[in-house]
Amino acid sequence: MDPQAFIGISRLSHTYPGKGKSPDRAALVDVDLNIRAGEMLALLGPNGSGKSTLLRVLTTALKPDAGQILFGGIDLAVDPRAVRRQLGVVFQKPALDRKMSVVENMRAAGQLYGMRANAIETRMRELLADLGLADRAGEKVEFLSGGLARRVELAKALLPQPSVLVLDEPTTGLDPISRQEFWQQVATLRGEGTTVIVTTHLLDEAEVCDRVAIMHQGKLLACAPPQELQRAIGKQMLTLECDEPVSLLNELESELGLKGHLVEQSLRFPLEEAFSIDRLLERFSSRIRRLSLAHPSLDDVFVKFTGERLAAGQEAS
Amino acid sequence: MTAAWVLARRELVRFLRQPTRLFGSLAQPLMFWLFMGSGFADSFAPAGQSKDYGEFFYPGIVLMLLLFAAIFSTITLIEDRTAGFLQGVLVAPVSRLSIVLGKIAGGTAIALIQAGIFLLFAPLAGISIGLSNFVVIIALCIIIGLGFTGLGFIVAWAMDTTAGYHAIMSVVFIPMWLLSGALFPIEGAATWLEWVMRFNPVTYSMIALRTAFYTAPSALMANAEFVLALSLTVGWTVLTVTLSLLMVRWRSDV
Repeated sequence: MDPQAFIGISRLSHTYPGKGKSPDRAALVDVDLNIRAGEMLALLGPNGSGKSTLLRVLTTALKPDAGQILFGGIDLAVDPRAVRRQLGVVFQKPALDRKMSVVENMRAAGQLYGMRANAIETRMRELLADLGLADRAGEKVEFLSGGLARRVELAKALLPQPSVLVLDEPTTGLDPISRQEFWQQVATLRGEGTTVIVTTHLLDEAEVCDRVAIMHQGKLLACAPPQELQRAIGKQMLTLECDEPVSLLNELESELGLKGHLVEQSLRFPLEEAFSIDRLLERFSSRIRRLSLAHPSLDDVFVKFTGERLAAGQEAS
Repeated sequence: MTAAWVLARRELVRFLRQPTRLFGSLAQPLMFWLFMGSGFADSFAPAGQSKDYGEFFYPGIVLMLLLFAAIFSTITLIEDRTAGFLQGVLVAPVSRLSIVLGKIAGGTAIALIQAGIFLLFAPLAGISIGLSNFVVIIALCIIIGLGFTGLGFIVAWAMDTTAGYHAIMSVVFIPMWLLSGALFPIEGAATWLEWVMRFNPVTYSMIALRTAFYTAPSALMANAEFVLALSLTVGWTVLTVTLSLLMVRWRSDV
């Protein structure tokens, strides 16, 4: 284990037992991951990739079949309550009581975390002001917009000053502006040394994190800073759309030495060195409907590791 | 134990903030008692009883409202699970016992509010309750309420849908009340039914409650039937609360 790691996950595996005719499903397969104090880590993967299961294990909501998690030196399996004390969690589902006001929800949360009344009041006022919720403090949660309610969730999670903040697809169902606002709030935490672990299937959300862990079918395929992951697959990414992708793919390889792959009807070629687009256009321009040349995105990284696109057909559940 | 208090208080706050639930839970027992009490009054006289049906049925309605209060407060556990609130509580540094006690105490407190209000109507049934009897009845309501809420908790914790809970409610909970001696006395029932009733733990809650309406508190502990019924009721409550805790330990995931 990395001596700098605050959270050390080793050989973590979990299988959901099948019910009736559905077979067992391996949600986590031998996952090793070290998370440093103060870093912001994104768990990137489609639904069913195991990222939510990993979070459930990490937040003590699920006991894994095998493996170990050390959390600031505490073995999670031995003392889950000590771990819970250090965690702030925002789940995909709202954990607020809609019939209670913002302040009542916050106070209840503070009390559940064993905070003293005056500590709750001070910290709560501070957070509500920071998150722009001060003027809505007395309102029942059921009257708040989705974006505001999410911010209350964030405030509630931050109330007991957790050393680790866990966010499970926190912006699901939010409009783009609310999403942006939510992330601005999260970004301010980095300066305060809070470790942030966030699951997402949205690339722009992963890009702002210090490291991105790519998960697919229960396995951790890669974990590195997003720029490093992008560099690892080439300087540039050429994407072509055409009518007969398979034959074009073969011809480009034999004639121009371009190696690429077909992803959902479009061809992608990571370009290692300066490549002359002119030569490509000279010979093939009539058969190309659309061409783009860009720095590799995390989506390209994801394709490289999994052979699948991340964004395609992934609906938040 | 702060956590249990926080969770129990939330139950009460939610109850008081849902006006239809509040109204329904107060009006329903009163309506049942008025309609059935008056409806049966001239047709049936309870076997072996000198009271009229309205009076006989009155303590039965108290038992019914305790049962329904428990059902409605524990069904929210399923809502809390699906909505996400429970998830938030389970990852908080809260002992599993507090989660159980919070829910059960909250549910019982709601039942007590309803019982307290309903008991004010006792004179309409021709029953006069002195203050000391009132205190004993409320104390019994606490014990019985805890038992019902514990029972509801066990079922609700295992369920993922309210529809499943409703099914259990119809075929288990409501028959437990029907066959407790609340609706008709055990003495008048067919022999096979009498045996079912004797094995129904709620029957003893009914006996204890009914006795408390008519016996001076000082004489209660000398009443062998009451002491037995009370012991069985306390045992039943301890059992359901303990099983609730075991359920939470067994299924701690969300």
